[in-house]
Amino acid sequence: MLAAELKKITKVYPGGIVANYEVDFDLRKGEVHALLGENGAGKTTLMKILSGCLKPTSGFIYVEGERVEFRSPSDALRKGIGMVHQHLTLIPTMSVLENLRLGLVGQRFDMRRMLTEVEDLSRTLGFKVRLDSPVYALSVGERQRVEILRLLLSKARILIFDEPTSMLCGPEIDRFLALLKSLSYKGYSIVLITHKIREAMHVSDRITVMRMGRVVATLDKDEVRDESYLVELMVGERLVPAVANARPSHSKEALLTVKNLVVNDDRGLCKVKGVSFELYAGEVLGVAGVEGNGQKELVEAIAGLRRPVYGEIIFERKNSYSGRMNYIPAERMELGVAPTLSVAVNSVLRRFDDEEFVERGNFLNFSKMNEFAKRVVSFMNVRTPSLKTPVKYLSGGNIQKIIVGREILTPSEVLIAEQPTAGLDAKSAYQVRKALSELASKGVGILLVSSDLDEILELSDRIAVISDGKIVKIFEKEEADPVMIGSYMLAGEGLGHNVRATVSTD
Amino acid sequence: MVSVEIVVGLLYSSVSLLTPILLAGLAELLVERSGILNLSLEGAMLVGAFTAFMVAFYTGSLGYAMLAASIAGVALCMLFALLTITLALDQMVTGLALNLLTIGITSYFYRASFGWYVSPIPPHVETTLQPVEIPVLSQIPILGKVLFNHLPHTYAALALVFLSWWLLFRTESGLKIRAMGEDPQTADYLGINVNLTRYALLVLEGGIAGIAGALLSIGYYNMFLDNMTQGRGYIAIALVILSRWNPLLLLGAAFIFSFIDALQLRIQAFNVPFLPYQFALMLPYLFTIVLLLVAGRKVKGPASLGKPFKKSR
Ligand SMILES: Nc1ncnc2c1ncn2[C@@H]1O[C@H](COP(=O)(O)OP(=O)(O)OP(=O)(O)O)[C@@H](O)[C@H]1O
Ligand SMILES: [Mg+2]
Repeated sequence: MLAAELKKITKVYPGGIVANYEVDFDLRKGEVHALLGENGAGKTTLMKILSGCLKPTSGFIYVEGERVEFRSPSDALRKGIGMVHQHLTLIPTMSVLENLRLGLVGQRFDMRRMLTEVEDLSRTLGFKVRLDSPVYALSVGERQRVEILRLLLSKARILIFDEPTSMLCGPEIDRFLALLKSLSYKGYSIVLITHKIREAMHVSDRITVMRMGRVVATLDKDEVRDESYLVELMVGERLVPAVANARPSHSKEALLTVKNLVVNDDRGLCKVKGVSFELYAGEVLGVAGVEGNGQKELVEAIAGLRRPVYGEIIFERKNSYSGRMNYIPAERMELGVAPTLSVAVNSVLRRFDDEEFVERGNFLNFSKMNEFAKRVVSFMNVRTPSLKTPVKYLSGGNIQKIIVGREILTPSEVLIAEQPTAGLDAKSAYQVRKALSELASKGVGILLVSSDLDEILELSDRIAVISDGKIVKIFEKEEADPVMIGSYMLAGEGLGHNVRATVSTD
Repeated sequence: MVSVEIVVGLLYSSVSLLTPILLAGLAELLVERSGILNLSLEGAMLVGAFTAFMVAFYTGSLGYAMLAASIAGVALCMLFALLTITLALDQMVTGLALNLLTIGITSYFYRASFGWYVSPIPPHVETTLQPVEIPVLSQIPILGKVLFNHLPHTYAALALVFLSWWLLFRTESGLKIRAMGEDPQTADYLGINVNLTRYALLVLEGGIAGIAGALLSIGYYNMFLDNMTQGRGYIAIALVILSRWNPLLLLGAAFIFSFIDALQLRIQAFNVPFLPYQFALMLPYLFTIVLLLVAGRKVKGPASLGKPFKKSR
């Protein structure tokens, strides 16, 4: 029995980009169906069509065998189809509770029931969300959790998740996947878009791989021989090797010194509670921790986006030109790009103080800008129709590539990389890790904040574990071990036994 | 020595001057919460004032006059909605253009009906809207006189303050309205019909603004004058910003404004030497600017206020 079926779907965006071409896709009742594909393959587009957010240029949609035409997402919701989007769709000024409530518009609503359900779900998933907190005060990872909760609360029977785990950490991903599995046993049908092949292999019943707007294969999980086979289907190449982390040992010259830093969040709650560390030239310092333990505020303070309450951040420009601090923010759409401006402008967005692009302090040098943008695009293999295209028309991963490429190719002394590979396909993620490693060998100090512990272990020379606003331990690379790190991450936290949603309203 | 009489009189006229601005402001507040900046509020009040006068003049029926005024207001706001929602034109420019249009149209048809040379005694209607004394309550000393002997519209406006607060912050519809004011794309993804809701709110605003305008021509006066609203619509919009899009604060802001308006009318009447009446006229507006400077500086409105929303599908 099919829960939903897409037949011969073609989507041509205004502007002529063919994002999907004659795509067939079906979703069986009670299955978890993983949708894989490189950045820009057309996964998001296809699922937006199934959830009524986009209208196909041609093709047919069937739900439970019945032909349907969606004029808006609410039509799809009525048919029981709901979606967690790649770019978050929460209202920042509203509280978490109000945002959850928004997912239930048009349904019979009972506050008390919703609160119990939220609490149950949060316990199962190990999420910790404060319901009365405004969403703008949350980190991206926390927002992702709220979004997942919202869809699970709604009465949808067909659940579409577009890269839901990109900002979650290991144990949370496990719980989330386990929940998906148990939901599928209960008869929910689930589409999971992801770049993490292991995730897809772990949880799905079937896997569909897309490339350049077409479906290249739909496989039962048992048919998949090994993971590298999937990668080959996706990008047409064999699996990429792991980054060899053989860098010259870094110097002890501190580029960035943080002393007794105390930082509050937007609500005035103390999030960073006295953090001190030094970032040396030529090292990657990984920051590991469960989302919401002060990483966001720490990074924002260092990047100059948030005024610390107390403490010192010392960054000495050693070199007048490259003596800058670059920053890859986790909040891509909000801090990373100006969505309506072109790829070219976004590539030089942070360099408008640079003689190279702005002559005599006022005149833009477009040919130089385009030249640099071309370098970013080819370095990261960004899929864009042209340099003039507004970045909001690119796929999520391609937007991310522009930000990362820009920050890596712009000379710097210190680079803060927050979730640098979240949302990138395997090949691009590899590219980025390699580039970060190379930057470090050239003497740049890199502060790597990531929810992906494997990534941190792979790249870092030292690993600082942050828990409840404090750095509880700094591991040298040699002594680092995932289990140890994990236990330190949960030190001030106790994830696993007493995690529950803090339910408080008004 | 300021006598009680004078203070009561002053407060009474503040409340009564308050009515049209409060009505218009509340309607605009709801519309702005949904993300639409409707400057043509001013025009809707003006066509309301004009239509009410014409209908009252020719039929003698105040009921028909009010009805016609609200229909006229709705018609103008629907034109605005068509241009800005369906065709996604710029809201600011559209609103201003419609306002200039209404000034022209009302003055033109006024002259077309009553002759091109306005006579020294302009045409006027015989009966105007009358206050309703609320039985027991109006007997309360002072308060009764200030509050409980007004046009029915005043009571309605006061009730509407609480009603719209309740709607915005205590109902699902309110949640939807606020959500689309912040981010219409997200609201759409969540299954909220953004354009339909916005149209509905503009119908409401048009109706209320038309009535608010009618209060001027057949309530407080008995005639129509060119550009009779004199920027009251704009003031209502300024007060909405001042009130941080909160109906309860709007009541406060609108009251202070009308109090100063009432005060300046007295100053004019007293003919204070060395103080030309134009200065008094200026006071309420000066006050609005000062208050905006003091209280309205860091105010952030609905995030998508005034931005055209086009569903890309
Ligand atoms: N709103 C839009 N307007 C025009 N083109 C678009 C728009 N959204 C996406 N595209 C284009 O359609 C193609 C497919 O995009 P889509 O977002 O579906 O990719 P994706 O598989 O989800 O990639 P990612 O893994 O990076 O999220 C891309 O080439 C992109 O540039
Ligand atoms: Mg995508």
